[in-house]
Amino acid sequence: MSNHMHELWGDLDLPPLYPQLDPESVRARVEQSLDAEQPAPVSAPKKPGRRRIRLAVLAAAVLALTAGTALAAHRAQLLELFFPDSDTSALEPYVQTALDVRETEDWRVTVNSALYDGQSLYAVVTLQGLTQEAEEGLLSNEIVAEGYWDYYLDLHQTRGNTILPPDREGVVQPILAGEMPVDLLVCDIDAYAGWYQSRELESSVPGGRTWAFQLYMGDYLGARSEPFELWFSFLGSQLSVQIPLNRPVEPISLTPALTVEADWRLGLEGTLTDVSLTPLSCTFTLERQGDWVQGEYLTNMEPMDTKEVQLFALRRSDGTLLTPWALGSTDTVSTLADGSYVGLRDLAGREDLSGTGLIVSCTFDAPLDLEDVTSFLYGGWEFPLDGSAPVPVEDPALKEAFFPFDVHPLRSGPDRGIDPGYASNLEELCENLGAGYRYDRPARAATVTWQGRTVVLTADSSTALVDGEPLELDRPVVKDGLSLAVPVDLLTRIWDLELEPRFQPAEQAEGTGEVLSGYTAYPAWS
Amino acid sequence: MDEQALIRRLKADDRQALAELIDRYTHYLTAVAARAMGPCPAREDLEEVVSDAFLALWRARAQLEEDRSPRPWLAVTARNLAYDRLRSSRPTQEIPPQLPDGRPGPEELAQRQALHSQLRRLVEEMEEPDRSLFLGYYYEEEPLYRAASRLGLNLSTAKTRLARGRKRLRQAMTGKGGEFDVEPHA
Repeated sequence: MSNHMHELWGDLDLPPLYPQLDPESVRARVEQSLDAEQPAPVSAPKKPGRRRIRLAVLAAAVLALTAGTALAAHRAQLLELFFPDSDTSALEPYVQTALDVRETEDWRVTVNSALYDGQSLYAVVTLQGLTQEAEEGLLSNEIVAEGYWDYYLDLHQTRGNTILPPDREGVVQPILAGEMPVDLLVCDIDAYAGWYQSRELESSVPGGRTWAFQLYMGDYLGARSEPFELWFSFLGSQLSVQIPLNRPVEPISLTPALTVEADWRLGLEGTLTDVSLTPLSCTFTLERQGDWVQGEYLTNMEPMDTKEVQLFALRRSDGTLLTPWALGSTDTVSTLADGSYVGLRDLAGREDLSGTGLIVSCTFDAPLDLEDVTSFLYGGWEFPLDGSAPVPVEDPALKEAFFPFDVHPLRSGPDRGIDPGYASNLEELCENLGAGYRYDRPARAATVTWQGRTVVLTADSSTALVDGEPLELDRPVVKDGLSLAVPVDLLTRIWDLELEPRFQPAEQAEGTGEVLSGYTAYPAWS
Repeated sequence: MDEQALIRRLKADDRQALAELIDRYTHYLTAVAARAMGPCPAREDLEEVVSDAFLALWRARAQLEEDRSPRPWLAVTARNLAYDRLRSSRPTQEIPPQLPDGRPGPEELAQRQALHSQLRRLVEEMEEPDRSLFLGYYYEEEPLYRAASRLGLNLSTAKTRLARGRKRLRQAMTGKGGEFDVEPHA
């Protein structure tokens, strides 16, 4: 972290008025003085017959401090663990280190590092046994297994958890054998609408074990005065540690209070009330306006069915757009350092999403550089992130192309069988995309322009010309009535479309009893 | 709350907490000490004062209150140490045009001081919230998120204001010729 004043002088080409000090140099100087006057203490065993092993722990701590990199290492570890191979510079100032420590005679729980973005919490926690017995019990999983069984029983008794194994050994033995990954780090998840998970890491301290913990809160909660509490299931909440939530990653917040077209095709309107954008997530709130037709959105609420109202985009400074799919959204729950999640929650908390509005949140699979983002797009409007007045999205093709459309497979042969490798009717597909389309009948070739790229496709040829460069497709383009049918391969490779297969029951049950009836295409725009 | 945990750990003799505070406050204490020590202090002297302030914090850790930021305590300590250092330094007899450690001689020093005084005056003349933002972020080495929050700005807006403000400062200080237009002083 550089000196702000020196940055200003540098920017203004002013000679400095005083030298810039390096915190590492100051730290080394302070440590040298402290080492000279205060050697590392050695503690005697507190209980006869039980060797205290704090010396090793303290020696490790002093070594880490002398090296001057422990805190930086914790920070780097968290960022690399949860966001590997990503530019995490925007997140670094928000990674908290030197956090809470809770200790008894037998245990020490340390929060090595934590990052809170207002919606998700990421943390690395270490547990150390402070006595020989505790350490051995921890490393052998004995204490873990026995303690977890007690925790499991308590869950069953207090919360009516009906998933109870037939006997204690069914829980204890797999844990002892290391075969059963369980959530050893737990919290009061009832306070949130989301989920949590943990995973053991290679330990960062001798005689201890280290876990990564991730909590998705389901809503954008922002800064909270109450800290978050976390504890090990097998030790109980009396050894809980706290993580402050009062300094989340700074969001860019908008309060548009504008009625927009949540789904222009069905004429559904909603008022966009809040938008929160961080490098790790985007959350917005939509209050329904008018009647949202029953059966369109309020039944069978799988995420796919409601994808349309989740469709937002972010505009980069170079003008290109990022959609949830480009940002890494999938329909699976995210795992550590893998994937992201678009969630939909009813404002009133109703399971069937029939309340007055919706909260849509998208977590990204890699940190986004907010300095590169200029606006948020939703419902036919563009909302500049500097808070200036929103503008309607002028380009109708852009507006329409937000939404998914149907891609029909080719039916060919005398029995008009479905060929799932082809998308039929290129002309209709281009219309749905908002792409330019021109067909040269004598040449049996179509030219498609979209997102600044020109693709030329010729019937019976598996070579596409993309901006003049040849590209081999996995099968040839074929004539399809007055248009062409193109390999599905083309749609995903060249145009970045995400294709979701749709199925219908087969007339004669075979295999799964379903056959492919087509695809729903979602433009990726990036 | 973050600083509460740091103070708690400091009081528990955790030197890692001290290291974290050093990372956090070195630049701020540098600014405080430099203002007290006069223009262009020697690096060694400045580093000694700042380091001594952190050592003093460590030695006084038992008396620290957990719910109070150590920032003002550190600032007062650094300022006092800087004044002590000034008082204890031997008086110079003749100042050469160029000091042996590369620091500017008196004439150049006077020019620098004039430039920086002009800069400070221009910042003071800014309209709010830019004035408070510049003073907090640059002169007090406040983290931007804290300065922005204090002024009710979101981070993106704060960054934009800083960028625009710097541009205006550059224009005001260089005028039309591109050279610094140092105001005459008595």
